[in-house]
Amino acid sequence: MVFSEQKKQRGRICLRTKKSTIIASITLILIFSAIPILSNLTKITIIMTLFTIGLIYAILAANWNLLFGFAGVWSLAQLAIFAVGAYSSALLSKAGMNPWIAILVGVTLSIVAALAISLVTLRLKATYFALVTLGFQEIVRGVVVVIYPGIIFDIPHLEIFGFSFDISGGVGYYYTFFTIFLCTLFVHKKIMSSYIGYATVALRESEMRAISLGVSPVRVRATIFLVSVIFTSLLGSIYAHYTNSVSQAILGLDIFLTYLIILALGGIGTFYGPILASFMWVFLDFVLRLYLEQFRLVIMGGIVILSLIYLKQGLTEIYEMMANKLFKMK
Amino acid sequence: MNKVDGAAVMDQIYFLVELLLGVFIAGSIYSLIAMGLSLLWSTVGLANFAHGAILVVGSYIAWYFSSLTGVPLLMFLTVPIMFLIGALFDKSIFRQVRYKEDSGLRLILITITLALVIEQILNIIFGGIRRRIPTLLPGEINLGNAIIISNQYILVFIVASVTLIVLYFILTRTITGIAIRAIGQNMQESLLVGINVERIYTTTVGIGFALAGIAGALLGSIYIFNASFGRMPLLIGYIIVVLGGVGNLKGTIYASYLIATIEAFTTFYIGGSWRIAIPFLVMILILLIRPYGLFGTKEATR
Repeated sequence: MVFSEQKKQRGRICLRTKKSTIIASITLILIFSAIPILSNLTKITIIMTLFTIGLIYAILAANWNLLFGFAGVWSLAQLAIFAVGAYSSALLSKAGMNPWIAILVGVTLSIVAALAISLVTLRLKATYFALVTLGFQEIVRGVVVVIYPGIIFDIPHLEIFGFSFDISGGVGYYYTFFTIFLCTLFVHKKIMSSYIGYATVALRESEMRAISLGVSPVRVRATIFLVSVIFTSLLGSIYAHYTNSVSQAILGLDIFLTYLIILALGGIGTFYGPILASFMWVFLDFVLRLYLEQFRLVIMGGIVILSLIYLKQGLTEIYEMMANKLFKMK
Repeated sequence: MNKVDGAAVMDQIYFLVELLLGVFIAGSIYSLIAMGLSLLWSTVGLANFAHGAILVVGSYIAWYFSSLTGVPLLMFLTVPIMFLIGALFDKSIFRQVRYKEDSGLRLILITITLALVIEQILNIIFGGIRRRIPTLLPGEINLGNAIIISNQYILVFIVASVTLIVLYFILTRTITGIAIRAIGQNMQESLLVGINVERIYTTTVGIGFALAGIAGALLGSIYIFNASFGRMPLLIGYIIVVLGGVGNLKGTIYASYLIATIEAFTTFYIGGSWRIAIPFLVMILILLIRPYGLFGTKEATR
């Protein structure tokens, strides 16, 4: 299937173009690092804001894609986990706790919740897991309303050695998210080429055969789920400090559709597709919000459904098609 | 035992009787929702997360007929309309995805998106105002002492029960119904025997949506509803399906009354905000012990 083909291709390309890959990734890292400088020099702060949001989208989408596309774990609770991180970090640091410790507590809480979910339901069919995680999301929504109805304002900013992350439009946050983004990519790559990764793909392709070879489905899937939960809740707890305020909107259908659109357009199960799609979507969304406010959600939903029906791998497919044509024209 | 205590005990008993009457009404509506979900899941292989939104569509159609046309009996047009909507959805969306790679994941994501989009469209059309279908039978019946039950509730109960019985006969006595259950048990063999699987799929989705529409009309006539009203019934419906065993008719009905009981007692003794969480916990606990549901058998999962 998708993954095995990619694996083969990567293996072939890796031998030939390792150097160029390294050069390309270093260039990309340099470009991304230079964006705050660029936006502060040109005084167009919206650039950095958009890229920060793009990074947030990309991290969450990549972690969701790891579950959907690679592991076959149909978790619908990623936003709930994000919210658990955000709310616990926000409430604890407002209560006077050191923000960094609050973030740690938030991540720990989500890990506990994820363990509880996964130990019970990962041994069941994937659809049951989707169902239980959807229920978890509704429960988190209910709990959040009971604990703190309305919006939490004035969450203290993060700081290291007196250096506030909020300086000049949130440079600190930008680099924090960028670091998490790089960590996500690195960890995902490492996982996919480790025992856990191969076992996951084996489980997805043929569960019976994988089990007969001694792979434990619950353990493997729980590991992958935990990895994505850790990144997601870390992202959520820092996000609370970044936006300075948290409300139920982070569990809203708006955000949910955004991630679905990113996954569907980018291509579920492709590695770089959702990441590219998240940066594209940030800019597209900016335009849509300006001109088509009321019908934005309906249009988004339409795009998701159409691309789920007609595109096998989203933008990656279109890109490959174009590349093939260009190649043939040569 | 003095006299005051006796009165308090009698009050408790009246209260319990009223609670149980409520359970019967809620349970019969839930079983309509759950039957639709269960049919879609077992026969078409479609875990329909848009069922809640579809249900609200049913409520709005019934509301439109009963309050705007002036002829409340036109409400029963909801059933064929919902059937047609279901068939249309199946032909235009679900069929396109059914035979593709990762169809399970794709179908789930599509239904979730559909749910959100339908909610949003209903919001745009009807606004956020909470509405209620006007009662067909005003008045109430006094069942002696302190137990009073309004006629509307009795009507709802009768309609739900009749629908259930009709559905049961369709599924067990007609060729189409038997074909629906046969596909749920073994799709390949049904093809082999000569069942037109695609047509049965379309019919099943239609029946599922029609059931959701009826449930929506019934719920909309005893509660007030808005566009996002369907989320709670969706989750309750899924809890029931999982407990009852996917594709198990009797199990689904038993489970709906069980869940309605749990929900009612939770609402009255623990609090309204826990009415989804407690049934959910019960479901998770039962899944731990019996992974195929309380009334399900091992083979009947799909």
